[in-house]
Amino acid sequence: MTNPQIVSAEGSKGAGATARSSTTTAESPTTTVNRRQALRVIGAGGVLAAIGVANGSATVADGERAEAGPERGDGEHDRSRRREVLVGVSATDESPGEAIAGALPEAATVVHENGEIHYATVAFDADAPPGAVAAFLDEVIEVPVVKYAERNHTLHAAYVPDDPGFEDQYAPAMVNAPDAWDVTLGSRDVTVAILDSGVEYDHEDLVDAFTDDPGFDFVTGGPDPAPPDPEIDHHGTHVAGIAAAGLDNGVGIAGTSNSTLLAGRVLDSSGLGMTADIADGIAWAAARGADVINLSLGGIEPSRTLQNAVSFAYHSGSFLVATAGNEGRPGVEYPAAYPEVFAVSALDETANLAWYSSFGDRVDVAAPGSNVLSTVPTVSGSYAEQSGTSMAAPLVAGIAALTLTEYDLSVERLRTHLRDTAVDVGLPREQQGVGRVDAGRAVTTPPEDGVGCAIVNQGLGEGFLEERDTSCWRYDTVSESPCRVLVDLDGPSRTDFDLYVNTGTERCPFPDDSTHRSVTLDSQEHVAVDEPDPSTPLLATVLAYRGSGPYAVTFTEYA
Amino acid sequence: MRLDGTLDVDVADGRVACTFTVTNTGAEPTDLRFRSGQVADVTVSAAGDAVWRWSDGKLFTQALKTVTLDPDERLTLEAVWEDPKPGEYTARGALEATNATAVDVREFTVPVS
Repeated sequence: MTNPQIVSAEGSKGAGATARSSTTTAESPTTTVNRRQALRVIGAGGVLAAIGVANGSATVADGERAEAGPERGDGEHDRSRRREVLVGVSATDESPGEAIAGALPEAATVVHENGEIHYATVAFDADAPPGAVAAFLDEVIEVPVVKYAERNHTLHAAYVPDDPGFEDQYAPAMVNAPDAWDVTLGSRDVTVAILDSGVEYDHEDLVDAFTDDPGFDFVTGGPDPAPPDPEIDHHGTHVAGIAAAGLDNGVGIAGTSNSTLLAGRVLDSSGLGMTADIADGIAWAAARGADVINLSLGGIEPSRTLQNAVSFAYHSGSFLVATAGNEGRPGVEYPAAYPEVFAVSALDETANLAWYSSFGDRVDVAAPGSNVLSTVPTVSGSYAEQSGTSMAAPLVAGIAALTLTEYDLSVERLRTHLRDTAVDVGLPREQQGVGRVDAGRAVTTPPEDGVGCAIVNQGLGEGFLEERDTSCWRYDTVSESPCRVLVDLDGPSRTDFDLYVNTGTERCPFPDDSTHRSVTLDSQEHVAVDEPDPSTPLLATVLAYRGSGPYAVTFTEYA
Repeated sequence: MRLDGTLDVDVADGRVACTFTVTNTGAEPTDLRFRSGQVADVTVSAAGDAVWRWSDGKLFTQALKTVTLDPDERLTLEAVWEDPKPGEYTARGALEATNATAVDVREFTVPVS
């Protein structure tokens, strides 16, 4: 092995991360006052009362919507206040609404204005695409007469949803979900796939989250992902409810996000799954465009098939979340242990590591998992508590879904954002990872202004390898304390190139001597090095395991 | 609580079929607590080294669960080891509960075919 080649440090801020493709369609609720109508009314001059606008919860075309709880005043948590922006304008001949009419996107309408203190209220449809509000905040201030643009926040205590079970739930409060719900309850445009033992998709508190095509059963190969033994098998239904049981629908418990659910049954009624079924489920969920894939399952052995599926889903733009494990000892289980997957350990109600939770270097964040109240099959009582890292992971999946409703983030940036906004709860790193996941901070902290960890540099190395040959590349970080370096290998099709990475040493890595590796069956490999050792370069070896051809290795540095 | 663990091993047709059964032999119902969807395991060793384990390559739900066995009720794991090499082996069946143990060990031989 000769000395490593140096990658060209380009210094450009190209997007090394995989972009998440969003194919959202915003549908106008039928009773929306359209823009032209609103302007005509505004043009009549002066101060207006609030124009009746479609209730922001018109996301379900066919399901039944429960009535709001009787305890709350009608005006206080009216859903139309969920995503509103207040725009202040200079006093001119035009009304505030007229002044900004040209800057309104499709999914937004002026619903109120005050000509004495010169502001207009812009409301966004519940189906507005992710990032629409954030984008509007950036764009409208470019209009010359606009002086400020800010979200319309509720000023009193954080959001209290009207789900009757909410007062018996502690987990959402522990992760500050009500602060997130002040901003958004989630969107049906975001899809969370639950790969598990099957989900009762017509449960009263889950039915609104499912479409006409609830999923697939990989265990039997049939089209129905409902659990065939609902008296004894509660797991998948419970997990799905934590992520996306109806939130603020007046029924049952409060899920984390009102996203769309997709169920892949990959575990049998006893809670056992075969690698092939789980891998097939992951690939299927990714192909169906799932934004988040939850895997409340694990095993102690690695598997090439499982890793290939995980890698495929990751590169397709799905954010994968999985359980650290319930073995109560060091060693995060698979698939959570793969670098493409977000690994979650479990806290108990006192915010200590739960007695059963596995822990280790691969834990990303911790989340409450003990005695969590959620949905179970109706024949078994509809709601029950369960404990496990299985309960912690879908809470993170739901928080990811809330975050994606507000910010259009690639999988890589979402991962960084959830880590950056996690809260240090004073546990050892191997127990809490970077901290206890926090929904409030994740949703209210704009990723651009987040604490650290944005792209600062990228380096590229290109070469050609004959079969069985290797090449070693060296990347020197430009930052003194990089938070993360991603190493991506893009190799030729119909070959099997592997990627090994070393941090903290001057030695080129080898298959038996590397701190990180990505060795799937194709030549698209991805390694994430969190907090690399800044005193040494990063070294990557590309091995042409089978086949030959040209390749490119990219180092993306975050600080 | 009173539990009985019994391991049966049947070597035939190029495979080793193990059946591990845990029976509540007491007069009261027994609650068995588990960390995950895995309730038991069967491990085969040769000269002290594990050569096959039923749970390898399998993944399980990660929620705590309780299974109640009434008196005489049993819990069974079927574990099949395909294509074993000829040799002398020891099989061990074990309950994976956090609040109880039940173990049985059986020696067996896979003949040269």
